[in-house]
Amino acid sequence: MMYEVLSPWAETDPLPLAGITPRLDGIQGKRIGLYANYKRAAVPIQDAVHAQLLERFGESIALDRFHQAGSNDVGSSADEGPLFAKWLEGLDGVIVAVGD
Amino acid sequence: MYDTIFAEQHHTPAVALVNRGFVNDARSAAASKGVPTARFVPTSIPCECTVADKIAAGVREALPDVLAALTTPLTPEEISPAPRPTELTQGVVFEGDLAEVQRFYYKRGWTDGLPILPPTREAVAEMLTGTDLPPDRVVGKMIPRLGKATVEKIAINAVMAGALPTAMPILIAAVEAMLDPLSSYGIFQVSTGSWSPFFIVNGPIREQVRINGSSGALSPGDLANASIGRAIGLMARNLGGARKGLEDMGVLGNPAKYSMVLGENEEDSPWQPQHVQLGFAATDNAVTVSFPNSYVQIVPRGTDDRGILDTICDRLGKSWRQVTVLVCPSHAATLADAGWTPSTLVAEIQRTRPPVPATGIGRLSDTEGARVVVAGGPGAWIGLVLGVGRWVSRPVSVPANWDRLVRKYRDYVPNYLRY
Repeated sequence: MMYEVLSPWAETDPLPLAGITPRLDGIQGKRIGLYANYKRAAVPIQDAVHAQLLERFGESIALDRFHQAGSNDVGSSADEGPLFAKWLEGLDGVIVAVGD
Repeated sequence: MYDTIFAEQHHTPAVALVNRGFVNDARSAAASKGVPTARFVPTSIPCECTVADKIAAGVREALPDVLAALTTPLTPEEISPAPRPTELTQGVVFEGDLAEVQRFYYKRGWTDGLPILPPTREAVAEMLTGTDLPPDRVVGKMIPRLGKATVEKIAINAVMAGALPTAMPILIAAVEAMLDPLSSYGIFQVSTGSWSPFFIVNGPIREQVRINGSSGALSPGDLANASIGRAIGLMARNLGGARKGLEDMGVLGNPAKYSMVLGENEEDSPWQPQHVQLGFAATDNAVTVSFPNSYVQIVPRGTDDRGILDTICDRLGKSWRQVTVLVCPSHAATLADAGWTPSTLVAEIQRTRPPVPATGIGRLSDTEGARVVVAGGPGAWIGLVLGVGRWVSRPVSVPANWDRLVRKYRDYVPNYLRY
């Protein structure tokens, strides 16, 4: 017996693709954000990144930290999303630690 | 990676540090947000590591790549990424015999590893008799792909799971419950913690579709219990696009992802059923979902009320967050005779729970960490279904032809040989 079968795979709405933001011409003189999500390793990772960036670049870069409090997608979080967006405004680049 | 994408979308060059084992997950997450070329650096830092030396060594190893990711000019592909491959979603996608259909579906990653029933037009049309909703009605969008859970796609996956059309009302309500943001499905489905949806069905529909809430309710052997949970698992994969090791990063996995469905044993309960406690009428049907990742069964050290309760509290210990306590009918009778109700039991059990962290999945309050549900058959065992999130309930709406539909499939039950 032959079967003509249907797809179980869901349609999605068209997703416009975007490229990423142009990169920096260097690290020195820049303000770099260190973002840690809610996982327990994220903050210690950023502590290490922070220390090693200072060791490498000293006073020639500025570092800024953001630690996510909630566990949902930070960008869509009603309380933390705006704070995260505002924090990004003052940065030249960001390093993200997710703990995994 | 969503945070990394968010930064890129806000015109901030970003790079994520990602454990080597999560490279596929990072790629998939970036693609699902429409920024498939987001940069990340795989690291040797163990997941959730708390050892400072290992973290420092991993960061030292990764830092040159991190700095390069922030400064290396973009490639043409990174500026204008190519469209991702698309999967067939409409119409007939394959023609073949039973074995060929199995191979086709399995090799596409559309099954849970077990054989499926072929979702032919005829089988899907029969499944759709289980609802009055139009096939193109979008019940919700399932993460991480945001695939549209249309009534037709729910029906197709239900056919594959071997469900009867009488499962459709429960499946639709189950999808609605899962997609309520309070359930935190979006996190649980892909979490390293291997959380699995656990459904409790209340109301007359349990008996009508023969959802077992008595002996061995969580064991294989009941079509409704087995196929409803299985259909949800297939939907998580085929509608949500949560595939093992790509998006679903459960470290150990969870056999409950095949199916974990039971009906409350309302008939043998001395108390109001769960859905009535929640404000539904006794004649209403409801489905409740939560996302536990473990289930233990215990025998109380004493069969009076204190023996039962103290065993529960001792077994829970000091680090639990959320528990559905499955009380068998004999223990429920003992507890009720001693004056306990579900709410006083919950209060007693809650006293053992440590303070709830201010943050975390589900954001449980101090008073909503436990539920007591009567389930199981004769005997003297207690079930503790352990999780961290919330319970979400939804009413189950049956179609106009419901009585006829129930009669049609009513005799589809095992008739065990006596020996």
